[in-house]
Amino acid sequence: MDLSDLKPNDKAVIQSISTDASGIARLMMMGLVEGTEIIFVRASLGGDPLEFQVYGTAFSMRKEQAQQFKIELIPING
Amino acid sequence: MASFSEVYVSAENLTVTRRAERVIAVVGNPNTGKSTVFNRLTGMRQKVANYPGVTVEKRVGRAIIGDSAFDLVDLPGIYGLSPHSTDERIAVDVLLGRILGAPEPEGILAVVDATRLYQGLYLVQQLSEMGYPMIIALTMTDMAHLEGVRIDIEGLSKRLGGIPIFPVVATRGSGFSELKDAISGMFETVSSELPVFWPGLRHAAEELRKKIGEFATDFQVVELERAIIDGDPEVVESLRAKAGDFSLDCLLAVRRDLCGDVPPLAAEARYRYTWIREKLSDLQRQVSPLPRLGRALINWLNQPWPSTLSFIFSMGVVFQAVFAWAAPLMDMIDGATSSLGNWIGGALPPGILSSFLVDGIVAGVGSVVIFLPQILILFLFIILMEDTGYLARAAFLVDRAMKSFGLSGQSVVPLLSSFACAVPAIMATRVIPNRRDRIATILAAPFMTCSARLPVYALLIAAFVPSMNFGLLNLQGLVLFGLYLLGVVGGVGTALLLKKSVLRGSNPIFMLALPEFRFPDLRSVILKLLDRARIFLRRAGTIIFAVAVMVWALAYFPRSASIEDGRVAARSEAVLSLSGQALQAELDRVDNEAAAEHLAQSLLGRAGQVIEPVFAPLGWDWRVSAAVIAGFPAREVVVAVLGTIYAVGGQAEEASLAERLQSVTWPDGRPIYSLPMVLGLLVFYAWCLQCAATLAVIGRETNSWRWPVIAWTYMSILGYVGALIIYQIGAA
Repeated sequence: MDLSDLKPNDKAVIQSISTDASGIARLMMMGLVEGTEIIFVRASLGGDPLEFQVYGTAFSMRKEQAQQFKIELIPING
Repeated sequence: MASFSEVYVSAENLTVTRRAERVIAVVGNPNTGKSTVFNRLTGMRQKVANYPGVTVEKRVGRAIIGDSAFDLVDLPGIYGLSPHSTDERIAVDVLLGRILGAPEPEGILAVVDATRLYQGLYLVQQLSEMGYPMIIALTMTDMAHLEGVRIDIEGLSKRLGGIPIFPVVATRGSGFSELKDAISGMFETVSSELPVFWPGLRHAAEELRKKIGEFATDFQVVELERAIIDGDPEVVESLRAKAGDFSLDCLLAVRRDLCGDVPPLAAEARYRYTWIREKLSDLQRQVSPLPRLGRALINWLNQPWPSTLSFIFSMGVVFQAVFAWAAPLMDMIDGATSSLGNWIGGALPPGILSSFLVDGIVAGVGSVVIFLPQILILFLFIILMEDTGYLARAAFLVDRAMKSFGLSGQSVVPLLSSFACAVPAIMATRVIPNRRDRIATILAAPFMTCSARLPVYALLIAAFVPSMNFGLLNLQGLVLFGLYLLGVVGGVGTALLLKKSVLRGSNPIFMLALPEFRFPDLRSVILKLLDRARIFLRRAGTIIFAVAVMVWALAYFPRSASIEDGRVAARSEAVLSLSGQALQAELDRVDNEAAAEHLAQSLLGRAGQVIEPVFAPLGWDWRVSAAVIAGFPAREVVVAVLGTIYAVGGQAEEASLAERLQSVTWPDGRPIYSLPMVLGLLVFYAWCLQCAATLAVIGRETNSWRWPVIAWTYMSILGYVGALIIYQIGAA
């Protein structure tokens, strides 16, 4: 499962990252590293780009980048 | 022994030649309220510094605290020391003391947004390792409180090895007296030996230094560190030059020891963010956010459909405002220019001095100032959108559409700005990280209908497009809209063409922080707007003015004595035979006829006649050709040149010029301004790059003369071919 598979308001933890893909190091510099909790907020019109929230910061990336982040969903407990 | 001589310095000079103040760099993530902090600390004691050799203008301001003064440098927002765009590169270079002529910072004021603490601390870690004393201003603490973010500031400062932290609310000014006290004492109280958060990197840099020995002493340890992580071309090149390829092998070896096969930047992010998460998780906690007016509304507005509609609506408002609000101001400027010209013309005897002042200087200044209303109104909206965080939302929204042209959402601001003027628009492309995308955007920008094209459009449409209504739509309005569309099609088509050919590369990366909606700070908005006006006046204004004077000279020289004698004779004759209004009309006619004759044999007129065969296939005679030639360095002079050429006077009302244009014919009686010819001329204007200021700024921003030459040639050919096709089809 990767970041592009989430539904709005899903919360997940980043498990592994394809660090070689272009633009990924830049996203990591903004805090998207293994172990980071991330919330999917919404997709833009037409399904791309995607908006996420990390540590209270909203930011966006395209699907191609989102697919480079493998994640594990955090189940919502009530 | 030193000899002493007495030097007398006047009181005025004393204040100017005070010793250099300590320089403090103001550094932070984008959208942290960094500039608001800077403005609060320096008040209006700011200037824009120009550093030689780089396309950068940065604000430097003096903060006076008690008896001491400090020079603050406001740097572009960065996430870390690995730059991805020109703007970020500048910030990093200033921090490393690499920009010649820029004051090297001696201390750092780090601005950290309390609502985005983790990203801020990533930068703080790197800054701490640079060897400057540093203090932290924690901004947006009011927002953080509303959002339920609670930070243990004392604990945080302790965990960061004692870097002092001062919570402030920049928009209200609270917390600033403490912050100012801290700044004034920072060089005494804060050590420049702050903690090193990633010892591994420091160790690697020292290893590297040991391996390459004496050659490495030219570099600061931070520079070696950045070379290990980013392969900074400047350091790498000078390493290679000084120590040979051997040094690069050493660099690669220590990098491999540090990062393995992982890209070094990824390794750095992993290390630093893991540290932040592990060491700081107990210092920040989240309680439930306070109820906040408008949060639900903003959240709803950010949904795809509402945001699309609100975007279209706000663009409509912006364009309406740019035209409707600017029109009266532009009329006023126009009126003031003509009256000033008439007044000078009346006060001075006719001749070269009067002509130079009226048609050269006054008209030249007027042609610059006339653009200010539209540019300032457009930029007011752009700045408001930027400072509320809406611009990032707009980029997010249009990214999908821009992607299909090979661009990204980050091109939206430059392209939007170019509807007022391409010069500031091209400068705004500095935020685009990818060079290919940046150049594609730069070449697309001059296609957008800028305010200089409007007078030409207005004249030709009013004269030749019938004012018919189709329901609510007016044909003249439709044609104007069509011309805007033509510009957009030309621009995005060009970007697409470039991205498919010479600028082909991987899909542009689009990643963008989406700041929360916040109310803009009035003072920052005004300062930014003044900045825009100043940049326009300097970058574009000087060139437009020079061009106006040059065109005047081309149209004035050489002066024929016989035309002048004929004019004087005709005037005396009229004075004898006529009186009252008829006399005045006859005198004007004589003067205008003489002006047209003068122009016909001036350098400009002759050039029009020489070049006429080139433009003949477009249906243009030598007069149109001469006007178009005059318009190549600055398209807006065309209306004035047409006015003179057709002997209605350079300052004539548009209506009388329009009438005149309708009546001019070829020798065989066919009208010159036929519909196909006019439509062709409009297309030519829509697509041609007739602006020396734009060419100059393209050269400056791409740092090459090739791109302006390519842009000019390409757009000229496009305009010519467009006009040719339309005229030939229409005339057939």
